[in-house]
Amino acid sequence: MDLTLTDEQRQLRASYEELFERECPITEVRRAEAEEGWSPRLWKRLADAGITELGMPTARGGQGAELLDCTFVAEAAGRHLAPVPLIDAIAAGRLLGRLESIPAEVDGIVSQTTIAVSPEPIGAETCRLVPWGAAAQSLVAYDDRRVLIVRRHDAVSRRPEMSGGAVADWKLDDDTVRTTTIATGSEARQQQDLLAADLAALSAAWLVGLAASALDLAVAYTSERRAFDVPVASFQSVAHRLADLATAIDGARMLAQEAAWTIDHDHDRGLSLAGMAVTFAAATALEAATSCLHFHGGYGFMLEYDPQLYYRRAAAHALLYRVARHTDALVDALSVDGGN
Amino acid sequence: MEFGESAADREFRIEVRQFLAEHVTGEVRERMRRTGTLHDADFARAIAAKGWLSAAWPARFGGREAPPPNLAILYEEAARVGAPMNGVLGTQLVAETVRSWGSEALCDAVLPAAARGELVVALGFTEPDNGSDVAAAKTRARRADGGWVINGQKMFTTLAEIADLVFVLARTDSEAPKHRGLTLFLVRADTPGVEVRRLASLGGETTNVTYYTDVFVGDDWVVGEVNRGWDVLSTALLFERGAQGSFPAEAASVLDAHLTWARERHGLGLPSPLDSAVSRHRLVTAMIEVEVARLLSQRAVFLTRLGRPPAVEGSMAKLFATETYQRMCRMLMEVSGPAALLPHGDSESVADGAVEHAFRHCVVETIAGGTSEIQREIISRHGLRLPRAATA
Repeated sequence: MDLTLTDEQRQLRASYEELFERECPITEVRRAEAEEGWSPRLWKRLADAGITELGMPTARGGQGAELLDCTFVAEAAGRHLAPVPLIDAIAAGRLLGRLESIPAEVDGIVSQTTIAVSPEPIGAETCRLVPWGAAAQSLVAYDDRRVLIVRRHDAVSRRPEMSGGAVADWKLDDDTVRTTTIATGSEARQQQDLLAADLAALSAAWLVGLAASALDLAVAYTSERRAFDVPVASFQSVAHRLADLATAIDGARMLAQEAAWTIDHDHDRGLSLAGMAVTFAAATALEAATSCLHFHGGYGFMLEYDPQLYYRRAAAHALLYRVARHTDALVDALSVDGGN
Repeated sequence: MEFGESAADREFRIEVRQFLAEHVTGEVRERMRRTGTLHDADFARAIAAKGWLSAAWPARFGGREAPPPNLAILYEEAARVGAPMNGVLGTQLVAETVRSWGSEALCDAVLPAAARGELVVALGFTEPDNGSDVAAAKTRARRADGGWVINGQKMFTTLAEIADLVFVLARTDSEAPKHRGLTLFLVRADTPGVEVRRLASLGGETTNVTYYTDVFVGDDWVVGEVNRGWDVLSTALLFERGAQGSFPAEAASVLDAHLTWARERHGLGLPSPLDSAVSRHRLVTAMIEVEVARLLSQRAVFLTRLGRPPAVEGSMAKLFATETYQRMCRMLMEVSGPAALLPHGDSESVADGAVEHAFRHCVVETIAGGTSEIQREIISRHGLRLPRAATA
């Protein structure tokens, strides 16, 4: 194991962090929630910087980034609660990049449209509760026979949900959509496994970013706020919980990075590591957000304070990206082959 | 950044596995179970003969002046198979400390014997009245002609029953501030006035309380400068960080043994924890946490090898790995039914008693080497820079 970042990786991380810091302040997160549920403005900035095409191979006009490098940007996005389908676009780019050929009508789809991924199989010709479904003009959808790209001109209406995102249902038997099959049969099954693994590793990194940010908020507030004439963080009952969180977050980050690295090195273990990573990151993020809220005392549940933004999104991200499906897959694997 | 193992490391791991398979025999294990002494003279000599531990030492002290192999792999693999490493590790810790702080004469007295695997050193830091607060040591060393006279008691001097030397932390200046009046000594265990009383522990491991009554130690056996014992001790404890992979390796080995047992029963159509979705879910949670523990430990080892002492990262690794191990042991008992109570040797025991033993043994790990509370203090005050409470 070598945990040294290359100079290039270090620069990339810093530039992502700086970009989100500048383009996605918490006011933008609140504005998006109050208006269309996502941030077209931020999306444009990310597209201009080529970040939405990170996962696409260079031969197809993308950046050809390794999945590990993509986790850096996913973490920065999570840290700023970025209301855009960034990890979807990266996973979609990687999916298209793996195919031997892409039908002409969907070539360039990642750069030309806002693309989302339905993280569970199509059911009754519908993709339900698709994260960023109301932001997207195109969608990656699949079931056990096929992988599709679905396109439409008019936006799908947003379903109100707890985290105030741009969640929507996509009906595939609707006249206004055009579908293109990009994989069938055994290739479809293989591609959806790889897609799910990519999305799980990226989700894990996004959740790590959210958790780290919630921890920062809790550290700052408890160091400042005084009770019984001392800073709240000087109490061990507070400090030690934050220490446990910091530890779990570092571990979650390493597991997400290990999963991403392993997936790209064609190790069979990549798929199950991605499921492990997102399962652990989801629990860690929700724990971090909950603690952050709790340590803000009564202010924690006031809407004008930020902890509730993290609390709702930590739960929503895990549910919308179907983390439980990954956990279930690990549990099922244990009954079949005893694990590993 | 990469998560795979280098070719050199992989090769070393294979070599280590072969060595352990050959030397950690059923007979060695039985002897450890019977005596509670996790040291074996033949094993210690055999591992020393491989030259791994002393590779970096000067030739005149028994080394080869060569870059050492990745010893973290050795500690990890040894923990995985439950090798008798207590004496080897304690002695290595002291040898490395002597190499950094000891005089030429002391190096000469300690290192060649350690390189041959013929020296056992027990650690004498903790006392009956202080554990985590190591610097509160009350054992006193008083100046005498040509040396020092030690009086006091040390707790958990594991292996003192067979040790050649005890590494004793004693107060040499009672006027100085708490951390400035301490000195480390190497005391021959057969010196008149040293008395060893055995203590039995829940995990089956023997430890001791040792008493020191007017024990004379020559000036040559002072490690580092007088009254700078705290600095010397810090070097010694840093060494432990490099061996940290042993915690998750131990947990992984118990989990593997349990899964093998559960799978076997499942395959035979016998009741197994794998029959229950709830138990499987709990096993998956443990698998994930053990992997996280392994990664955090590997990070601490990685930083140690870079020469960057991983204070906070080391505490995170120790905290997470040991707490995970305990959670896992409780869970493995709970999902296994009453057979989990049966000991090694009972044909119906779970994984040949591995789970029963781990459940008793795991409790020491959140205590020894700095309690979880100490680790959380280090992480929160040094890592997160949270304000410290005023102490009395």
